[in-house]
Amino acid sequence: MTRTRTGAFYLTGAALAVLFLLPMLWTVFSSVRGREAASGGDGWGLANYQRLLAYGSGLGTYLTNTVVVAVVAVSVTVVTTTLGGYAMVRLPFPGRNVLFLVTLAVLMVPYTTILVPLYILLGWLGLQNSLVGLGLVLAVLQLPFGLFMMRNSFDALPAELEEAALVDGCTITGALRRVLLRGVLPGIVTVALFSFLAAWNEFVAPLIFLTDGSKFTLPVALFNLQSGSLGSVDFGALQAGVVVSALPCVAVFLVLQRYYVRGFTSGALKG
Amino acid sequence: MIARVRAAVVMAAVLALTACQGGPPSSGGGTGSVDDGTTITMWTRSPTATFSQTLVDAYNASHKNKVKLTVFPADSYQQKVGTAAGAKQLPDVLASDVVYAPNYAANGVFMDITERVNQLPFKASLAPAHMKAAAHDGKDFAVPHDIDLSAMFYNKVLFTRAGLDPAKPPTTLDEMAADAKKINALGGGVNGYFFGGACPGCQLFTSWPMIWASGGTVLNDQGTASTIDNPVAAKVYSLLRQMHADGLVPASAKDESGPTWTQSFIDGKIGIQPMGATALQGMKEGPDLQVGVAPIPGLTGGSSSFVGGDVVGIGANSQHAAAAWDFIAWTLSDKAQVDVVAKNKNITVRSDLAGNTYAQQDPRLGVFNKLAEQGQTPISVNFGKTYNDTNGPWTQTVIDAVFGAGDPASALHEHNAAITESLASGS
Repeated sequence: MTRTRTGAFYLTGAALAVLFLLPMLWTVFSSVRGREAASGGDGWGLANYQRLLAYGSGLGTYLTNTVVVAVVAVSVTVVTTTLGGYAMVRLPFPGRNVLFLVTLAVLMVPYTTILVPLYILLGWLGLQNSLVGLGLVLAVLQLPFGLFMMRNSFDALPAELEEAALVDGCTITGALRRVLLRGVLPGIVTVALFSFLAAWNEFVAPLIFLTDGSKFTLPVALFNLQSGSLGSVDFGALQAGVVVSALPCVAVFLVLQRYYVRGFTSGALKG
Repeated sequence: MIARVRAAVVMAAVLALTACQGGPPSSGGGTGSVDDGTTITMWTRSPTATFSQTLVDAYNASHKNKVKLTVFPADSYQQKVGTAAGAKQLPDVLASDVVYAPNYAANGVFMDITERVNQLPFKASLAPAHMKAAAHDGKDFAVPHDIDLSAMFYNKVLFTRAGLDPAKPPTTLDEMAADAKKINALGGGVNGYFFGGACPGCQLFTSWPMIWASGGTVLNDQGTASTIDNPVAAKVYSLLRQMHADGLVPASAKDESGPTWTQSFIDGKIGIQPMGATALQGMKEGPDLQVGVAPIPGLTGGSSSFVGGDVVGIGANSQHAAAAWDFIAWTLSDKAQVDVVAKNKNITVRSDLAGNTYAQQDPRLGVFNKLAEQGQTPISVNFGKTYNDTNGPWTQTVIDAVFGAGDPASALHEHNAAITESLASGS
């Protein structure tokens, strides 16, 4: 590559990076401008964050609720889809391909049509207005994609790996735990990442299944903030809320990005 | 197999539960109220949060019963209530935007409270527009909670600077346009008039009173057919269109979808703007802004108002109807209406309390109270999906009438059938 081409490459890359980062930077800057600044004045400070901290049941409560829901959703999704993916590939049982297609077909059912049945079902299980119940609902919604991902991940592993482990004296569970999980780790990370982002940002399910304001997750609290009285939206606090809400997503993505990319390629390329 | 059978049982039960929901329910037993330490739940939408919380706090401080209020985002409130109604998990006390009250009353979301309301000694003085909207088949399903009505706000500072008399707000739409023109001539970022051009709710809230005050109508009494295709409405929208074309309205008004539609006025940059009475509470007056309030006029005089806000009723499946009614009845009492509602610069829902101490102290509240008696609340089961939904037929109608290529009369004529179709189709 010539020096000119290298320069053009970096210049284009830098321009694109600025283009993508600009809205995020604008949000961060807006969040640290004073309240008066929102209507044209100057001034910097953390006033927006202070108001956000004191909003409703408090930012800490909403963050904790969101973390609880996300942890439940991610744990359940990862465990069930990992075991499901393994079963789909390694345990031959009649109709497994049909079962897989049926699971994927669930993606075509409009979300809103199952809200009332889920509402009633959670009531029967004693999980209505419960963060754990909400986490379970979100995990269920992630199952089709997660199963698809994990089935592909297990499918990409050579069967000889497990056979060797069995010959060496491992049980099926042992082989899965000690050998196979390492191979499908990128897939697990991808599933975890997707279910985390989905659970963290989910709005409709918390709105419908939670009826106690102190149990609201961050997206619902932010929507309440956003839809205050007409003309009296606290945009400063809202921008601060957007920043607080986005930070964990960015952090998790950056930490797991390496595995995440590998997860996708391992699903796409066999062997 | 067992799983399959269980799934079938669950589905059958779900269908049975959701199918039996519908149609107004009975009164839920009894007509009395109790204050025995019951904890009752209440839902409201975010714009009413502060108002409702103030009443709840005052009630909780003086009663054994405790009300637990949950606030939901306004845009998603319908979805939340609809799902909860389907699952029979409504709260004990449910507040609702008054325009959705006919739908909730007709579909069994509210409990029939006719006998309870009849026992109120001041029933006749409850805001008539709200009472009418929350009645169905001659029965009462909710009572007024929070009244927000449209009125013409004007900046007295800009009136004075433009050589206008701040004590004499315009009494006709032509005068309003003429005053706006003089204020607009001040320049320096000041404009004469403002409206939310891309906000269907803001537009109907502020422009329908102009039509009513001019003797026109917007929909029939049953709320099943649009009558907006009339010469009076065409003249009103022609005037608004002309004001925009003449630059009396900031260019940004065309894209204003609602969240910031009062901001320019609050900043002291707008001479005249019809808006909701509750906006007054959030306005800080200063050297650039002194707020005057007057009724929204018609083309050649008269005045009217869109009486919006919220009604409150008992959830259809409440197990604590008597305790819920104790709270609701208390919110209508003299003590709550004067010492809590009026004291916080809100409009009383009882006409017999319109001349209360606080209204006498601020003549603007007197204007609001008077309008609450005279104004209208259009009633239609399909109001939300027809008029408030940005994808509904009203949005495009008003955009075409005010900003379109053709003339307003043609735009109203062209869209009238679509509005009627939406109003008349299933709820």
